[in-house]
Amino acid sequence: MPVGTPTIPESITVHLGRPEENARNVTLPFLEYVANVASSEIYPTWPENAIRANMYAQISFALNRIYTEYYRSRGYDFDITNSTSIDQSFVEGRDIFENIRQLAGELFDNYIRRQGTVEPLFALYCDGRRVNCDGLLQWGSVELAEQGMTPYEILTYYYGDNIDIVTDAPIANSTESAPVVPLQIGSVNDQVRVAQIRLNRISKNYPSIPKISQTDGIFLQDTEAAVRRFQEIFGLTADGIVGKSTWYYIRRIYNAVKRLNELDSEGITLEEVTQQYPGVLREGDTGNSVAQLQYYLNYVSGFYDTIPPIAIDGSYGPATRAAVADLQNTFGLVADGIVGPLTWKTLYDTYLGIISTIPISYTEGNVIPFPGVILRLGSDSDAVRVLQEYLNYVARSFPSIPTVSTTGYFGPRTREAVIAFQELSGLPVNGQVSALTWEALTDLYSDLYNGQILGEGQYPGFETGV
Amino acid sequence: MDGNLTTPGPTGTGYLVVQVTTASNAIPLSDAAVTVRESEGGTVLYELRSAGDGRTDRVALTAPPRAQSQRPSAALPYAVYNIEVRLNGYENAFYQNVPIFDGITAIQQANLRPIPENGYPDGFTLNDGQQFEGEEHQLRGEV
Repeated sequence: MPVGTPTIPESITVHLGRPEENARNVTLPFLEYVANVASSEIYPTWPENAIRANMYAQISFALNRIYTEYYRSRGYDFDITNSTSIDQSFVEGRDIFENIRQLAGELFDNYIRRQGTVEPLFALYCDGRRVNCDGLLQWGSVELAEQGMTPYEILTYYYGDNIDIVTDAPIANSTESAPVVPLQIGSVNDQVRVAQIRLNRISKNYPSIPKISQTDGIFLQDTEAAVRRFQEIFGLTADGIVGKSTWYYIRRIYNAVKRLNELDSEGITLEEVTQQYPGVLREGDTGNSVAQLQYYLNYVSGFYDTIPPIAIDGSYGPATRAAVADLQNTFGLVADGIVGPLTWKTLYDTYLGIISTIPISYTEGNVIPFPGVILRLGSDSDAVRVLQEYLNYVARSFPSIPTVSTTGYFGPRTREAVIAFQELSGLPVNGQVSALTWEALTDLYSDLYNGQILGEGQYPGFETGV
Repeated sequence: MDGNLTTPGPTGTGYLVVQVTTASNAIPLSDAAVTVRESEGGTVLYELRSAGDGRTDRVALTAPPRAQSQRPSAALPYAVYNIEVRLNGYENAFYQNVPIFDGITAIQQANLRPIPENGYPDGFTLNDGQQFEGEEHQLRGEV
């Protein structure tokens, strides 16, 4: 029984066939799923109000499947299928229409619900020509839009008056929200700074995005130039303004770029990386061989949307078994979820192919993992010195953090700096550094550090503000 | 327009951009060879290269006029094209029957994968996953 407020998932897993069919699953950001469904179900040349009404129905339909755990509760490892007789069209790898892509960024966190309930509406729809149904008629919506109806009016026409459109629904596992007032020249606030840091980080991989010299939360010409270039590259309206759609696409690309960095720092050392087949691995096994398997699977999943990411915990549970089956499906092997010699070899060869092709600068982590012991007033170690260096680097962009001497001794001033960082980051403020604080600090350090690196062709002679 | 005559040929123009990346958009791939062909007959229309950010130039392609997509019609309201993407070290990608609509820019994402060491398991080709097979753009009507 679903409980709680519906949230928007970061990603959705789509089964490419009927539920009982042995087909591949594809996992992708929900934002992009929405753009794909709309591009597949309707025509981008339709009046915009018809497109919007249809997209509300498509989004609600998908969210209903997720909220009610319709497939997962039946033991399937996906959220929805692309079988149009029971779910909705999704065509893997298809072209996406620019106007629909822009709308997806605006609408993906909106849905329809019956007044007095919380569940996203199970919004049935059909084409309304060859087939009729008790819901939105796609061709009918075109005519209603031509007559001047708004998206809401079109929806009430088909679903009844007692519906609401929920807007800006919370995104699962995320506390941030898009700017209410679009960010543009003259804006001064924390969201501008977040956007600047992310754009700089993205520009390390996409060097045609110019660097923003000061990530200080003040939106000037150089920020506008970076936003505009980002929008051009990713097919959004290139107006240099960070509205909702641009905000979420920046976030989506930033997450992909960061994830790549994380692939390498998942707690396995180079010495442990080995081709040697550890013997048959199956559900229920635990230990280092399982952790290695998970490391490779997770790495490869960054390059294959048919394999979802998994936790590297050394325990071969249902998620690992499902990922192994997904790998097997991807490469045409028998999908039994058991790692025999052929599956192992396929996985390892794929991993090797990736790391020998992708330049290491894209995936290396650049940061030292948490030293495993809480650092506090009185601690005296190399780890404290590293902490102090990270704090000082971050302090250059965040003046509320005092700088400290990098002595390796955790004194009152270091504690002040830790508190200032924790306050700034919304962490529990306790002046101590456990894994949570360490990871938040190194995350921010990594963004700032990588955001400063000038790539080929970027603004020569540019001062990095050292 | 006289309804008894054959429908006029395509008079609209749609647009296409190809964006070549790997690692799910995290890494753009430059210098990929992108070929755009007519789906019927395979005539090459454009030979493009992806730039530093993975994007090709935006190119114009003929498409049926917009009006044809506003009502159900026997004639397709869009034109179709094939796209091939090749880059050393990565699997080739083929996209068939890519729909293009009048006045609309279509973005074809080509997310390439590095070729596994020693190639693929015997007898396997990954084309299934990389191929977009455009079916006739059916609106939901199956029961």
